[in-house]
Amino acid sequence: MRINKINITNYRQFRNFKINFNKKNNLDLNIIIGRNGTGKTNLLNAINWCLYNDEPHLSIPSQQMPLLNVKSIKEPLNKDEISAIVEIWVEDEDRVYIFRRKANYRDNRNELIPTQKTNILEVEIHNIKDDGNTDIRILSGEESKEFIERFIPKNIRDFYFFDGERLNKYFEESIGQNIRNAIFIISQIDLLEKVENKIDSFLRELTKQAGKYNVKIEEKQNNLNEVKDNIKNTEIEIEDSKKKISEAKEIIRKCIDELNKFPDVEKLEEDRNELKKELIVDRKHFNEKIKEKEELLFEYGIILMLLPAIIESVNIIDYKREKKEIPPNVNKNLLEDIIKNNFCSVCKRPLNETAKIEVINLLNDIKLSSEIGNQLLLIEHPLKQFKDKVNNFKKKRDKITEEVEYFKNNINENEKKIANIDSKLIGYNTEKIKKYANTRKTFEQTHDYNLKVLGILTNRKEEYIKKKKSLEFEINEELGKAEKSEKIRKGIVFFNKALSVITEAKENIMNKTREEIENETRNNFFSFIWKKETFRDVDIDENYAVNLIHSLGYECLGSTGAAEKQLLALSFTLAIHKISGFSAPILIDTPVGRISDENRKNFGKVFSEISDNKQVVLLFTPDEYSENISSILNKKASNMYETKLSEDELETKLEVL
Amino acid sequence: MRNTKISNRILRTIEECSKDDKVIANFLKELIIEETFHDKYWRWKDTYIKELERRFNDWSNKDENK
Repeated sequence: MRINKINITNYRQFRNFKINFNKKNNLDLNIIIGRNGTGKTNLLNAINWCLYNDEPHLSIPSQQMPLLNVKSIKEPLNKDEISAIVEIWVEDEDRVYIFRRKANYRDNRNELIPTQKTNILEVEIHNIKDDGNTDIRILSGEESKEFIERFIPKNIRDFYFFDGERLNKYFEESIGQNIRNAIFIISQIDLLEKVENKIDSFLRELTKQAGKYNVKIEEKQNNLNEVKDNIKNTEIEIEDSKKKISEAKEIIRKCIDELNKFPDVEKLEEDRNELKKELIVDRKHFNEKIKEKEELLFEYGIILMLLPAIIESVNIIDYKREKKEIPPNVNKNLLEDIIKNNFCSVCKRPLNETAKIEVINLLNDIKLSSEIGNQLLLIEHPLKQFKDKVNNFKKKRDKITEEVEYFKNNINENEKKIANIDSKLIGYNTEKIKKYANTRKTFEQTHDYNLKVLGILTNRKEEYIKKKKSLEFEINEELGKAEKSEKIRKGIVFFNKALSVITEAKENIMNKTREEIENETRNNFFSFIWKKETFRDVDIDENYAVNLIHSLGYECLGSTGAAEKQLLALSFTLAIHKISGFSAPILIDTPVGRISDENRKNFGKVFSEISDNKQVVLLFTPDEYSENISSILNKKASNMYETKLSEDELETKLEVL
Repeated sequence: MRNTKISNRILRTIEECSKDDKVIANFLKELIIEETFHDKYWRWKDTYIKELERRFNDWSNKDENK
């Protein structure tokens, strides 16, 4: 199916606006270009308002404005009422559907904004018959709403009306469960479920009747009902677990996504901790060495101060030794006694004059007393020891100085590294980092816990199913015993069979649909993607959580760029359309607003390819519609329009390009 | 956009799962079609009974012969 045209009257900035999306030469790519504020997004709002009576893409300035066109309020009218009307023409095989919403306003000129009086939705169904004639059926009131709900259910509109700005967040916003529910509806599995529930309710009623003929039947039926309820409750719990697993996976992925925005926080934190440890050890060693150096200086301080005197003393001793003054060969005191007593105590005779003069001269020649000479001999060794020690001091001092320098350099270097890491981390919100890391940890636990719960519940459900089958068999046997209840027995068998067929069909369709959507998404993605080698696979689990697998084997959706995410969202949507038989156009507002210039060319090719099989409506800003993309899409465009504001800026005008 | 017609997949799967039991298959297909054209509130019991009565004897005889 495709949108043929949209007519808008007095809705927001559309005074009298008509846009056609006619196919041309079998091309069905429609391009609308318009500056911000010229009404592109409000065109999407007009469609939503017409079908669902809401405006999900309304900008803040538009929220301040009335729904009714401002110009229409200002201009004098001859009528009592003014109306805002949006009409969407949709063609589908041999039928044309006209969806029309009309809001009537009482034209009270005293009010700034007229009051909405009525809001009416109508659906016109034009059935073109073989003879060329057309049957027309008009639905209104609840009937028209119900028709839309069946034809284009509101909760699946996200699968055909896109806001390109949000496409790369598609998997965050439409997490598995929402997608699963939507697929449930568009694949019509909900219809099977309705029939299933009604047959079950019939069955319960029928078995209750059978209980009148046999008390045992009633008893067993009560047990059976209980088991059935248990199965349903277990299924709800299973769904709940699956939902929690899905949500946990999504939150873990978001946390990784957020943490990836920081410079490898975990690694930096680890490095920082290691550096901190090293710093503590180095500081300890540095302080020890400084203390050692101080002790050394203290120990050698006096010696160092006396060193010149020591050296001189040693030199004197050496000199004296050289002059043979030491050790002393003549005792000075002895000579003094000889002169004093005038008697030589060595040769035991008195001194004559000549001898006396000789002894006096000898005494004069002796400069050092033998006592001093002996003392010099006594201190010579310790002095030389001190001198040697000073030589050792230098070695020791140099060694310690070298060690101190080593630790000092280590400390400086580690401090610099830590400061560098800190500057990186401080640039980010470390509390935020901690929060994401903790959240990730918590949800990893939630994920693992619920996986276990899911296993337990699945086993429990299987047990209940066995019990159910056994009870059904027992009831059937009891029914067989009572002739009067034969018809009821057959009815129960009939409904039981119908129920098992529909349950099996439902499960088959659900499984097949998921598998086919997975295959189709994979095929679409790998046929569109320009980086063929980067990714290995696309995986969709039973809760419709979509994962992109990197060529190295890890899940990488969280860390994938906006362009690839957007492409995956498109691939997934197209797969849903195809597999569910949900034939819808795709409308995308600002489709490449967040896509880098180099990838716009790739997206141009993708949109062009999609438009070969379905109607595509793209709403670009002029900047967005750059040469890279326009050179590709211009060739395939069936219609090209530009939205412009009138001179008074109150009305959107459409120009054909 | 959703087609008011029943998707072929649904009808095909019902037939597959019914195996050779055409009465059950047709009964279910009919109910599914009925569900398509009605919303939340409708007198579904009457329709279900009518469909059951329409097919039950036929099925019942076959069932007896099995």
